[in-house]
Amino acid sequence: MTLAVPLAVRLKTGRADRHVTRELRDISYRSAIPGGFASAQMTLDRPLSLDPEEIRQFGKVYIYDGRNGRTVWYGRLEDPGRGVTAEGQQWTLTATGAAAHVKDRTVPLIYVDTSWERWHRFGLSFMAGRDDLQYDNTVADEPRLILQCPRGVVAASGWQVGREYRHLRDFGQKLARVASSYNSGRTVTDWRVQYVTRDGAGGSEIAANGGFTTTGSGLTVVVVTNFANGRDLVEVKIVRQTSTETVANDDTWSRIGVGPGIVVRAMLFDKNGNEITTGYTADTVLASEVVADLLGRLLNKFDGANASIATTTFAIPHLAYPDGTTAEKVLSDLMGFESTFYWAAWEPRVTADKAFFEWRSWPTTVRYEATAADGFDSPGSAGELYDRVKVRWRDANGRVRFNTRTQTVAALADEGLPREALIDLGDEATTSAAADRVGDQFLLEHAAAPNAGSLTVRQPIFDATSGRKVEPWEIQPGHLIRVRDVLPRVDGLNATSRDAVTIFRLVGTDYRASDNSCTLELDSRPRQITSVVAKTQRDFEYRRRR
Amino acid sequence: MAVTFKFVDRIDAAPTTRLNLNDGTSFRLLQDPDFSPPPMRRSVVQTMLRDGDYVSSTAYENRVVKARLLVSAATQDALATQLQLLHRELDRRANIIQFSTGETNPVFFRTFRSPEYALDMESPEPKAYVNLSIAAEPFALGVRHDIITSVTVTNNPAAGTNGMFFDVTGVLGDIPTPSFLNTGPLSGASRQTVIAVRRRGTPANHVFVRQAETFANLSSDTTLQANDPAMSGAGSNYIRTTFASAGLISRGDSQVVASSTIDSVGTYRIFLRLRKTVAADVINVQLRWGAALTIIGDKVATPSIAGPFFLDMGLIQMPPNGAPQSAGHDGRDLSLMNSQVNVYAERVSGTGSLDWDYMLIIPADQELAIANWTVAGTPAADTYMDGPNEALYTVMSTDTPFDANRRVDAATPPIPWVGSLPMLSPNQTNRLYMFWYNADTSDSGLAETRVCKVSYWPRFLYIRP
Repeated sequence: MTLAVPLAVRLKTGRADRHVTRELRDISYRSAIPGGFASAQMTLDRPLSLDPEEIRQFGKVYIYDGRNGRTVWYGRLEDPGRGVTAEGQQWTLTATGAAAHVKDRTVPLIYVDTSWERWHRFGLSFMAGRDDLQYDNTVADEPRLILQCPRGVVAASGWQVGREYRHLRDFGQKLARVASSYNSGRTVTDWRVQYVTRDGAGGSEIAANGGFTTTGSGLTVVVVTNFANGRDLVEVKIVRQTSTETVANDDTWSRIGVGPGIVVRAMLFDKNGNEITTGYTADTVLASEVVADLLGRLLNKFDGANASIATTTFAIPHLAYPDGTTAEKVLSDLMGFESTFYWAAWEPRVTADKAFFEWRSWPTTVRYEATAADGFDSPGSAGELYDRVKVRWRDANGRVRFNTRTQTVAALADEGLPREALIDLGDEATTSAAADRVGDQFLLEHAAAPNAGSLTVRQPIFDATSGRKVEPWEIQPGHLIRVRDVLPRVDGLNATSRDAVTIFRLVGTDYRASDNSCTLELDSRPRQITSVVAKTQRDFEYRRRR
Repeated sequence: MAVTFKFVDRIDAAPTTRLNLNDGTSFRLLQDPDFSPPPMRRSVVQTMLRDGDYVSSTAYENRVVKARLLVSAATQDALATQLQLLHRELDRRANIIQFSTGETNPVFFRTFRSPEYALDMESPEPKAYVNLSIAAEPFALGVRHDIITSVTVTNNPAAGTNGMFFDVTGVLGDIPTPSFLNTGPLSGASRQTVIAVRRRGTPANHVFVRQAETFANLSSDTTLQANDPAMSGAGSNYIRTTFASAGLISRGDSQVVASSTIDSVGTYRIFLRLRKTVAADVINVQLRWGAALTIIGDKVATPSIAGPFFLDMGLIQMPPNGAPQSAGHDGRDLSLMNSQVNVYAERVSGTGSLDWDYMLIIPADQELAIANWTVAGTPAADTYMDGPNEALYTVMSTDTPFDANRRVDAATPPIPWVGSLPMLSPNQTNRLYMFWYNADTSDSGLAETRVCKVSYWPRFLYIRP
């Protein structure tokens, strides 16, 4: 029995490469944003007594449009099942899209770390020295590290106390930048505030060396300029230089982290997997830089060299995963900072067997034009409207704090009905600016009632991007679609972005060859059991310690 | 003349009979078998939003061959023996029935295991009436037709004959049938082969190649060059972009399909044959078309080779504005004009130039396949594209797949390929487009040829005239 549509299916393993179209009973596949190709199911009429070499766990699956050779789905086999039913001996194959690769590895990762929780008193500190975290008395209410040589201590040259940050070494990463500011209880040159950078082979240098000053000073070091590439540990300390002093009062201290706190940045990879040794001029990181790093560091099954990464603008002040993370979680967090962006992995386009990867913003022009003739369902929900949100976060000293963000939503204001949501950023430390950003992005997405709807397409529709009619099996998510015979807004035809009635975001497609139909998921996932379960699982993981 | 109705071992002009169901002695057809055309399975869309149903896709279902036989013998025991012979044939997982009215050419039905039948014994006489219902594939197949025994295809669209294409005419049958192609030996080198078909209308009306020297509106740093034998065509046969302006701008434009012909309407896959003067230069190429060039194709990076090489630019559809196939219910196809496509290029880094040889406009709305033939050592083997089995393999050049030896070259590794293999339509000129290049996309040479052969098994819904 063959398919009724011109799709071709190919299975490839290390031992065999075969087209199996003629043997398929049916096929369905799904794509979604974020992620790209998501899943596929197919049933093969094959005897159970054979062990086909083209069916192996992690074997590749290609689904082509036979008319023109384009790949409409690509992924890898999961557990191939087989059984006997009333219809005979069958192999049931389930494949996951290339996007599954983002879950393959769980590793600890540091990008930008502003937490004092990972700074520990280092072993060269003299016993009498003090290192304490205290909150300042400013509006920022941020913790600072106080390093002090107490009254009465006889401090010879070399006396020191401080803390070290060694998580980069523990995680196999390298140091790129350390930045902070400090002030002191007295101004004197024989007492110094230093960064000392080290590697595991004994290499080290004094990367920064500032004198005690009551007026304050910055202390910033970057790789290559101030310390050698390869350093993976940094110490911040106060040190007595030259002569011996018997400390007469309580003023021999320095407060580290005045202003923005202390920032540790790890070295990044570019999307080709090469270390980036220059350009660490900011105390923050961009989402687009993190995406490139993930491609070069972890995601070797994606074609990093030919990946498309759109540049983002929000400066992420803190991004650290000391307890381990997957690339999927990192990408999810990045989309929390940049809600108009998404990532997707598609078929190999340049390098064989390496999926094309893109990080891009949602388009602002409509791509597909469709009608509701084959089925349309948009229940709508005002339950997704919020005019305020409280963001729970932990500061660099581990203290739980809340930021509140607000917006005006006309539908709520008209009824005098405030609605407030809660976002929990988990137990990992972050910054107030990051919490504000996440809250603002959430409110942006909840300013209008989303249309968690679905549209069924069973005939060709127009694709403005390629200038041609496309069949149901060719439709891809990640674009805008206009549904013509739905009640339009006044400027619906001229709208360049989602207006939640006529124009929708296409977030998922589900194609089935048996009836040549594609179900499109609009704006947000429709209320199906599978989607609700998936969201619940993600929320649960989000709230666990990161 | 007697009707031929028998189980045979293969589809051939002279197959070996396994069991003759109308030999006039043991088995006799009491009436002509029922070879009603197979039913059609339709995917139908019903909605209250419009009148009538929309048929989104169709496919033939299997057929059931019905026949009523009289089985007779001298004794009951002999009758049982004859019935046993019948059972064995019906119980085979797959079988072949040959049928001919005696005044028509034979056709063959590929049957499935169908041991159930109605048996009416005429005891005590040693005879029985049997009503057969045999499941079979939808189509009756004719004997293999070697429609093209040899055609030399040149990998140069400007060649005098069969430059990157050849026509297959005189295809028999009722409906399209998969082709069986011998695309020649690999000549000791791996080749990536693109093969596509246009089998509707008048394929010759589609101009599938546009030489770059015919491009119009060249940018100021793109100029016509003197003849270079490495490029296709006569006289000044290529243009060169020197990138005095290195940004992504239009370097020229061309009509991609012939105007005022309905045979130009369709979807096409565009390939450019290019060359770089400095292999390491980073140069990207892009197509733009449609009203005000608002349809922007992918930006494709050129490989790090000098070439010439082929660049796959993706799909375009003409017309690109969603115009219907015909106006209203008129029924006549609309043709088109102004199918201009602009070629854009940028040099991101480097100092060299980009040479443009030609643009291929390969039909991509019926079947198109791309195969990566990999040579293992230096086999003397011909490459085969087996449409009925959807398989690519090699057979020793001293053999054919149908002769006494029929030896597959086991040393050839699995051949990766994408798309669908060409079908052939009866009562229609089928134009097959074929070109090839090295695995690194570099051209293997304008003078390179391949001797191709085309066969097929015609498909019929009932019988073959």
